[in-house]
This record gives sequence, C-alpha cells and structure tokens, in this order.
Amino acid sequence: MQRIDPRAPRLGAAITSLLAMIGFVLTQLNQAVGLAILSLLTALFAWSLMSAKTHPYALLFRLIRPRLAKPEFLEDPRPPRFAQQVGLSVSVLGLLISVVDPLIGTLFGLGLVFIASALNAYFDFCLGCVIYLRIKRLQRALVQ
Amino acid sequence: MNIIFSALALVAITALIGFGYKSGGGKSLGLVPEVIELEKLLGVEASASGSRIILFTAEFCSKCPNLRRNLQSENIDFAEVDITDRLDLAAKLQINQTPTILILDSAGKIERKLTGSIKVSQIREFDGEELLDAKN
Repeated sequence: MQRIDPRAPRLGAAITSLLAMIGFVLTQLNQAVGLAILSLLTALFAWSLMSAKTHPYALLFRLIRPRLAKPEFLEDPRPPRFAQQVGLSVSVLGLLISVVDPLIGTLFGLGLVFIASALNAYFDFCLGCVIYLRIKRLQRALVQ
Repeated sequence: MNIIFSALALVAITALIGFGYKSGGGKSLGLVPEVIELEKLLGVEASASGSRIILFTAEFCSKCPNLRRNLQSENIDFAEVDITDRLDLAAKLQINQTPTILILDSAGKIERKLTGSIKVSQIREFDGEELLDAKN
C-alpha cells in the first residue's frame, strides 16, 4: 500500500468546501447551476475512488508539492478514501432527493458536503475516526 | 438576505462542530464497570506485554498512527488492538470512535477511557509514572 502526503487530501477537501459553498449560495439564485455543481462534486468523489492518481486535485497537489517542505510523515490512504466514500454517498443522496425536490436536494447535498469537507480541511477532522465505528455498529444492530 | 444568512448558518454549524471536536479531544468518558479480561478479549499479545494502556485503532482512523508514534517516542508501553473487525469488542467496551485509549488498573479494571485527539500528557496525568514504562 503506497502511503500519501497528508496535505494532499486536505487540499482536496479545501477545494471541495469552496465549490460546495459556491454551489450552496448559487442554488438559491439559480437551481440549475447548484445542481450542476453538486453533480460535478459527485463526479469528483467517484473519480477519486476509481483513480485517485489521475484526479485533478492530485495533479494540482503534484504542482504545489515541490514548493512545500517535506511532510513529517506519510499517511495511510484508507482514511481519506473513506471520507471520499462518505462524500459520494451524501452527494448521491442529495441528487436523489433533488429528483423529488431540486431545491431541497441540492441544498442538502451541498450543505452536508460543505460541512464534512470544511471540517476535514480546516479542523483536521477525521471522519473515519468519528463515524466509521458508529455506522458499523448501527449496521450490526440492524442485522441482528 | 436569506442567501447570506443560510451561508453564514452553514459556516457557523461547521465551526461549532469543528471547535467542539478540537476542544473535546482526549476527554474522559463513562467507564465500563467491569474487569477486562485481557487474554480473553485481546489475545495473548496484550497480556504478554504486561501493558495497562490499550490503544484501540481502526482501519479508517487517520489520527491513530500519529498517536501510536507519540506513545512510542515517549517510551510508553501499550498494547494496540485494531477493532475494525471486532465490533463485538467495540460494543462491549462502548467504543464509538477511534483512537480510544483504555487505562487499566493492576486488576484489569478500566480506570480511564480517553477518546478523540488524545495527547500523551493526558495519559501521564492519570496515574503517574508507575503506569508507564511497564516494561522497564
């Protein structure tokens, strides 16, 4: 398993949070633009899960990295990948809700994507630490 | 006006969660009122080391490697348990997030349970030096 620079996913989260906030504001002016941004974010989440190395954020980080100091340590890629899965789930849910109510669905998806990505980017919030076990325990409780 | 208000509300919610997460790091949680049978629950490795500090990690925990490094650099003896596939253990010990640290007394009873952004100094605070460097 190839370890990654921990600053790469945080840069991606910062860009995602910016896009989500722009989308959240624009949705209230023009729903179609907001829906397009939510669709774009959904595609970006899916892209990072399918081919993280060719993802636009990864390419951008590769341009920036030579200007940065060497990271103190490299990170396991699984936690940020889990965060991408959560992002994809939330944005897909937003798109599904938007089939019934475009305004609510788009605001829901973009709002939650903003909260999760901003927490990750600016507070170093570990989504995998906080929700993974809760989801798994809930799944286990529902099965039993 | 509504647009600005809703955007600000979203930022405020995020900041509230974020600052709550930062300030709540390493908090001591409710204790599990029972003796932990290390050998039975965690396997031979933990009891063989004689450790009384148990670090619970999981597959998607980005904070765990850093805490592990800090404990190792401070020469604190601990046993590590990956509970990704040990949901029975997570339920039994009421572990909802990682990293979680349990500090046990000599009888195996849980003295402290720490979770979130745990600092090594918080572990040292609880029971002094006798808890640490168990191997030395």
